[in-house]
Amino acid sequence: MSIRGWKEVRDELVPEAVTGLLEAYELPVERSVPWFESPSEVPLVASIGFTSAVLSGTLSICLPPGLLAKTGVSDSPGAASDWAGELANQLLGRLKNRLLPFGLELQMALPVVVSGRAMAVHTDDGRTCRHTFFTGEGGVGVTLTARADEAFVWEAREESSQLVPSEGDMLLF
Amino acid sequence: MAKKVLVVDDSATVRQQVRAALEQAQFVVVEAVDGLDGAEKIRTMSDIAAVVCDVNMPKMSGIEMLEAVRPASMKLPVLMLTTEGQPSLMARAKAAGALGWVVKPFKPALLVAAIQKVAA
Repeated sequence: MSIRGWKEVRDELVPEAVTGLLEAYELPVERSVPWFESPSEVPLVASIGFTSAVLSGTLSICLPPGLLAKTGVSDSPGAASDWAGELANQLLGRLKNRLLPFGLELQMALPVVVSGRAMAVHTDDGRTCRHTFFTGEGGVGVTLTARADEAFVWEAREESSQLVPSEGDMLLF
Repeated sequence: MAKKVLVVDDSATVRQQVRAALEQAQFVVVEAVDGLDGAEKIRTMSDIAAVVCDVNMPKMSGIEMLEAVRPASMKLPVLMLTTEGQPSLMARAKAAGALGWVVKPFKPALLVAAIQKVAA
């Protein structure tokens, strides 16, 4: 595989990971835009930090209530925020697994979930990528802010990617 | 008699999803909210037939839980259910006694089939 920079890797992996996650819950992405658009309903935002020797940062996913209900939230108190945190965890897991062939092993923190109105992303330092993915259940806003070691060579090893199981896979030892 | 499966995950929603799949297949489900809670239940509930366990959890991770209770010594089958796909973590879980590894989001039929196989 060719050698690329972090931004190229990021801009390829983030949309692929989000689209794959939403499709796993039968929510095809109809279109996406490269900016953050807060849903009109009061959304939940789940954020998870991650770190490694090469790359560290935070992933946030902004989820409209309709989408959370569609993907499996029960009516019990706290279920929506619990599920938002879990979806953030599953999204970062996808990214983490796709970075393994580059030799990166990210350590993930536990998710934090907040809610509010008219949310906006205020980071504009070149280290943040933001996208909104539109589904039949509303838009999903995703931001990834990360600082990468500039000396790191972003070269994926084909043999490493074959060792990483895909989402939904089961391995019996 | 229905077999009892311990589900260890810090997400109540995931525990509920796993419970729904296993109860439909006639398993009895007990839940633990993190590795510490899971270890306590494994030590005190002698009738657990299998465990489904997350990796990243507060207080104690799923792999730390396995290393603490050594389920293989009790012949207790454990399946890990996680977002992680890191080969080094899978190797560590296997060494600590896990019999399988499922990457979330899981397919209910596949999970049930795996539990039926390891708990047989």
